[in-house]
Amino acid sequence: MSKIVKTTAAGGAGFLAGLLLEKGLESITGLDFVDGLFAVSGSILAALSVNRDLVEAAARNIEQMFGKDPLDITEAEWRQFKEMNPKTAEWLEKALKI
Amino acid sequence: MVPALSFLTKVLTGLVAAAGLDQLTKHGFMPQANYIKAAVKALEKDDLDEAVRNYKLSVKKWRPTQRSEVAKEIISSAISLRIGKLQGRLAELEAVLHPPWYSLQYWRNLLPKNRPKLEELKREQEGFQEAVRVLENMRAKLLEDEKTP
Repeated sequence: MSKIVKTTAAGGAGFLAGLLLEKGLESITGLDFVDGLFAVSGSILAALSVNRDLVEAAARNIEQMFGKDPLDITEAEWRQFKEMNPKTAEWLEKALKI
Repeated sequence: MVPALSFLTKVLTGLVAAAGLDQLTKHGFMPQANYIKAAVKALEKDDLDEAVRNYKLSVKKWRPTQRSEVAKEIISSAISLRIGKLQGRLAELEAVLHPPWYSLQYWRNLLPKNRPKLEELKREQEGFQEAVRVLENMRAKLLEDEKTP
């Protein structure tokens, strides 16, 4: 029984010391080292989802330009958008297989 | 109680990784998609300055690609839309502040009771003019030629 108590106390103290060290290092360096490790996997995820983000950003621009949902724009409005944003329009046509 | 050596090793590894990644990110060495994503996210939050900064980082060490060019056009378009909105409001303010002499507004503006309101509108106009200038500089910075690495 006393062994369990001792192990729990030692574990708790170790956890607290570790937590203090982590917080101390974070406050000194301003870096979150756990985030640092996750940033590597984040960069891979970013590469995968950037296309969707670009489509959404282009859609927001269309919405602001014409004041309506991109799905509701007319042929003439799409041509106008294409004229002003040729690369985006070409890319959207490819990405959305229009 | 001293933390275990393995824990300290993990902390140190994490710190080195974070510091390294931080420097790599600051200098444009991360994958281009990272910066493009950050630029688009900043655009979503209406942070145009951050969007331009991230776009610039995306082509600092990497050659411009179709994706980066599209991002650039999207950011430029968002800036233009913002400028357009501000200019619309500026035109409205101009019509109130400097109407033609034969309009009713011109004579209304001469009334002393309207002076504080006109002063307020003038300050608003100056603020918008400054915002347009800032946005135009931002667009110029975005569109300036990138050096191919």
